[in-house]
This record gives sequence, structure tokens and C-alpha cells, in this order.
Amino acid sequence: MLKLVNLNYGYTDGANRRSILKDCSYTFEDGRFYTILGPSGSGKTTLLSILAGLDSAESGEVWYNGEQITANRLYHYRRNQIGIVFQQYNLINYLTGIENVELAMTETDNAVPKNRREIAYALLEKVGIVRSKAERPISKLSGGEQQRIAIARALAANVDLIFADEPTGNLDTATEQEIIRIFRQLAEEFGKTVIVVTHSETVSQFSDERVLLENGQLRRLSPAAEAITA
Amino acid sequence: MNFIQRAFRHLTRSKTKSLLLTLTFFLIANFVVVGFSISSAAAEAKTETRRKMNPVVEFTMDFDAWYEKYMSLDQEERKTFAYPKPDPELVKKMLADSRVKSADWTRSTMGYADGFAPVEIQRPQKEEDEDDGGMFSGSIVVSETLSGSGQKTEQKPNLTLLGLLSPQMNKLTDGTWSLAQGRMITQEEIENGSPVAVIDKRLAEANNLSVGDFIKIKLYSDEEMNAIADTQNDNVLDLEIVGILDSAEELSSEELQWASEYSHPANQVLVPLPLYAQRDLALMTLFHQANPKVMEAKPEDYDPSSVVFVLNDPLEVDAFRDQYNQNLDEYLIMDANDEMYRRLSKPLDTLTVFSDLIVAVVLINAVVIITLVSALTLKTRETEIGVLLSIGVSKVKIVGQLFTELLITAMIGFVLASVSGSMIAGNVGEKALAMQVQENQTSESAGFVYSSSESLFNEVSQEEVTASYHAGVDAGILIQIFILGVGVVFISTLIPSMMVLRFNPKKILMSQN
Repeated sequence: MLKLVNLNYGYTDGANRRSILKDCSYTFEDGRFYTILGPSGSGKTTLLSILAGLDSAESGEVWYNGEQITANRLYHYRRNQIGIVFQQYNLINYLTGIENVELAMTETDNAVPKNRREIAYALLEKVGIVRSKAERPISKLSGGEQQRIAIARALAANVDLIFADEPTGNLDTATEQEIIRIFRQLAEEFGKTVIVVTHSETVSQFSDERVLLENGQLRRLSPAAEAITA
Repeated sequence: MNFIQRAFRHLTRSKTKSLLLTLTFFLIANFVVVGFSISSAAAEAKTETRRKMNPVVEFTMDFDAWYEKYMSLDQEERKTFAYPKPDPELVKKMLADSRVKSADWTRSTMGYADGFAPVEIQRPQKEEDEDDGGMFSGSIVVSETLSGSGQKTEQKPNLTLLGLLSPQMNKLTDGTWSLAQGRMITQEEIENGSPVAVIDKRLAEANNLSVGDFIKIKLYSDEEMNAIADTQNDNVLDLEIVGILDSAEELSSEELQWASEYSHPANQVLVPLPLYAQRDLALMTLFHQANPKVMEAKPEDYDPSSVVFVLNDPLEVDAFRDQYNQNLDEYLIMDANDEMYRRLSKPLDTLTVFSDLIVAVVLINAVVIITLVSALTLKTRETEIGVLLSIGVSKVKIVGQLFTELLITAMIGFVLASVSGSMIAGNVGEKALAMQVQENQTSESAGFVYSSSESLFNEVSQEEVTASYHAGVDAGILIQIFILGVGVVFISTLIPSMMVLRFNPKKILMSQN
């Protein structure tokens, strides 16, 4: 369970102080697919950065599975408890797809089987990347393929919490659908908690829970996903 | 995949960048290798020069300083401003130094054989025919000494008394002398001023003397002693022969023309210095009392003015000299044939200065260039670093990867340069040395170098020094180069490392969205 308690975050723009998060509290349950929606500039990406341990709130607390994520635990949190998928994929370009996935396995302190490469291939297969593509340089892969590899990398450290920042923003509709399918599968079949920041109505429609970030606070929207899938 | 593996993959898959970086290191390393090789070869040639020189260190007077001081004194002060002499306590300490093989700590005077014949100088026939019976005529002295005829012919000294303060003499250790019979005078006998002597085998054979026999030697002529007639017996040293030396020393044909008998090596008698010093001091006091114009003697007048040390190892000469130079009287210096060494080493020193300068400039430039290249490259790798941070890779490991990448390229560059640099250094170094030698020979005046122990200092030619100069790359240079390479890489990584420490993954990765 990921729990936010009274998070505050803001920045100074010239003489003006702008608050992004104002006593923001919310609880994300395990094994569900969340989408965070909100207008541009509402602070979705900032919120995701704080949730993913890439940044710290000015005040407030982030708890994951009963442990508070403090500033000195951020590296541990990122290495062992979360995976992140970015809009720009952000794969390391001098490594192949399979090596990008292996990289996350090497760095984590979580138990990872010794046959990492085989596990990595299996993960890539799950997201639709065959071996021949997995061994290609990143630059030889399409955007969709790169994003699938990024998802496999996020899963590689055997984590239960996956964050994604506009993961389908650069993808065509078909690929977007495929990515949504993967996220749903992660939540439903593998019990992962998937939290996606998106503008896409399509993506949000398929999430278990849609959360709106507005005026610095998170608010649950109607259970559209349940209605659609029911 | 750890940071070292990542570094390898980055290098092998970013070929152009890696190649350019390797090329940069290669060019830098070539200069460093050439500089080091030249410097090292120069140091080796200097060492070889020192090795070729006899390991001799001697006390010598800093005459220029002494004379300058002397001229600044008034007439009265000048009378008491003596030549500097080595402190006997310091000399004893030096003699006990394990680096010292032997030393001549002696003072000589002339004497008169009493009741035995010195070895005659066999002058060439032509010279004898022309001999006018002048002051250096040895044969006159012999006949007079033995005959005791009482003719009023001026008595000439015919022996050299070599007073010893240490028995570890250089000629005994270098093989010039060997003991044919008996033993050497002991340190105890020297300190006690015992009446013992070691004589030359030729002198012993000429007079049928052997170990255990006694000989008498007068310190002053009978004429001189007339001034203090009642003390005749004090003038005679009654010496027991304890050893007989076998020596091949001869006067040179040139010396035979003019040398007097006492200077013949066979007429040298070794005695404890305190023995004759005490006796002579007493006699000189009497001479002074009889005639105040005769200068009054003091015990320190008998201290030797020079000591010549021979060391075990030529390469210890500089350290030995420098160590003891610190404790000397201001007008004394220790010389290890330094003038010749300096003259021979000058081209090498000039070469070393230039090569060291090149190495220093190149290394500074290398650090600046590599730092800039690394910093600029880092900008293009922001995303990669952001990703690594986002998956929890520590900043230390990221810096480690950057360091490893630079180190690998540096090592490849340096290994290649050790081959090419060696070839360049051979050519450049020898040409540069030849130019320096030529410059040295035209600018250096062949001045006279005074040495009190010319027989122990040897000559080494500039050609010998030049021949021992071989610029190349050996294991020592390679180790130095690689240590420096690591140092350059380390310093060059510092600024990029600071940049990495300031990297914020959120700003790098999220701002793109």
C-alpha cells in the first residue's frame, strides 16, 4: 500500500509562490491500476516524481508497505521497490534491449535468479519483444518497442510498484492499446500496483481507479474503469 | 551488469568517441613517454658517470671563501687566521661509517735515517753526469749518514715519515701495498703514540732489516739541533719495525730527474702520527725558546689538513658527501671530484630540465583537455545518468563508470605510446644530448681543477658519458607513466564528478515531458 499524508510542494516563480501540492493525501491499494489525471501544469509529473522517489516533498510523508520513504532511503526505494516508465522511454542507448533490462536486475538488492538473461528474455516476451529484437541496439527499435523494453526494465527488479509518466504519449493508437493491456495484466495477473500519469482518456478508461489532481489535491473520480470492464 | 561492464560497453559501442579519446591520450602519452625516457636516460647516464668515477671523497678547502675572509681581516687578525682543518671527532665518526672502505688520515714530515741507508734514487746516467751535487742529491746524504765522517756537508732529509691517525689506508685496500711481513700499525698503537714503524720491503732488504728490528730516525738535522744542543736524544725516534710493506710504487721517469731521496716511495716510513707530533711539538717549543723568530707550534698544527675517503660503492658518494658537508667548518668542503662530475653532467642536467618541463606542461594540458572533454561529454549523457539514478544506481558508481571509461582509453593510449614514444625518445634524446654536449664544449672553459688527491680521482671523458646515454622505455618508466595516467584520469574526473553529484533525475527525466 502506498500512502501519501499531507504532502506539500511548491516553487517560487519570480515574486510569486506557486503551490503544486497542498496537504495532499491519498492511499493507493496494492494490485490496482491507477491513472492520475489533471490539467496541464496541475503538478502530475511533480507528484509522480515524489511518489517515485526522484524528488522529495517540502513537507508531508510518503509511506510504502508501512515504511516511510525518507530522503536517505530514496536510493534504496528506487532500487528495490519501484519501477518507472517514462514518456521518452529513456533507455540507455549504448546497451541493447536485453542489457537495459538486465541492468535493473544487477542493481537491485531484491532476490533475482542467477539466470538473469533468461529471466530478462521472458520479461521481454511478456511485453511482446522477441529475442531477435531484444538483442538489437536501442536505436534500431521503434518507439513502441522501446516503451515495452522500458516496461520490462521497470519490472526487472522484481518490484510491486510501477510508475509511468505519459507512457503512451509518443505512441500510435494500436501500440497504446497494447501498453494498456500490459499494465492491466500487471495489475490483474501479477498483483502489481500501477500508477500512470496521463492525459489520455483511453488509458484512464482502462484503469481500475481514476484520480484527479486538482488544486494541489488528489480526488478519486467515478469508477469508470469498473463500469467499462464490467 | 556492473559499472565496469557498462564502461566497456559504452567504449566499444561509442567507437568514434572512444577512438578520439584514445587518440588524445595517445598524443599526450607520447610527449610524456619521450620526456620520461629522456629524463630517465639522463639520470641513468649520470649514475653511470658516477659509477665510472672512483668512489673518492676528500676534504678540501673552499679557497675562494677563505681568501675573501682573509682579505677582509687586518694584519694582526691574519696571523691567527689559519687554514681550516677537518674536525678529528668528525673524521672518526666518518671512518666508522659503514660506507667507508678506507681512508688516508695522515700527515707527513721528513726525517733523517740514523744508522741505516735509505734507498738510493737510480737517476738516469745523463742526469748523474750533470749532477752538480745540489740540494736534491740523494747519494751525498747516504754516504754522509753512513760514514759519520763529520764533514761539514749540509745534511739532507732522506726519509718521509708518514704519520697515521688511522690504519685503514687506501693503498692497503686497493692493493697498491701489501704486507710482506708482520702487521700494520694498530689503532691502539696510533692512539698511544707507540714507537713502531712499518717500512718498505726495498728499504728493509737494502739494510737487512726484518720485523722486530729497531731503526732510528732523526726529526731534524744535527745542524738544526745545534740550537738546542742539550736535547739531542729527543730528536731521535727509536722505532720497532712491526711490518714490512711490499709496494710496486716507483718514481716516474720525470720525477727521477728532480726528486730528492725522501720522496722515493721506498723511503717512506709509516709511524703513528701522535708519536712524532708529540716529539716534534716538544722540539719546536725548544726551537722557539732558543729563537723567538721560529714560530711557536701548537698541538692542532699536527692535525692532518685533508682526509681522503674511499667508499665501498660509487653510488653512495653523493649521499655521503652531502651528509657530512652539513657539519663542516665554513671554509671546508667535501669534494667528490664534483667539478668534473658537474662538467660531465651539465648536458644531461639541461636535457633533464627540458624534458621535465615538457612533461609538466603536457600533463597540465592533459588534465585541462581531458576535464573539458569529459565535462562536455557528460552533458550529452545526462539522460543516461538520470536513468541510472532513477533505477537506484549510486552516484559513486556512476562516477566509477566515468573514471573506468577514461582509464581504459588512457591505458590503451599509453600502451600504444610506450612503443611509439620509445622510438621517438631514442632519436630525439640522442640528438638533443649531442647538441647539449656541443654547446657545453664550446661554452665551458677548460679551467684548472685543483685536487689534493689527484692519484685517487680518475678521469672520465664526455664520450664515455654520452655512450652510456640510452633513451628508451623500461618497466620503471612504464610504471611511472601508468601511475601518472591514473593520476591524470583521476583529476580529470573530479569536475565531471562534481557535476554528476549535482544531477537531479527528476529535472533530467521529467522536464522532457
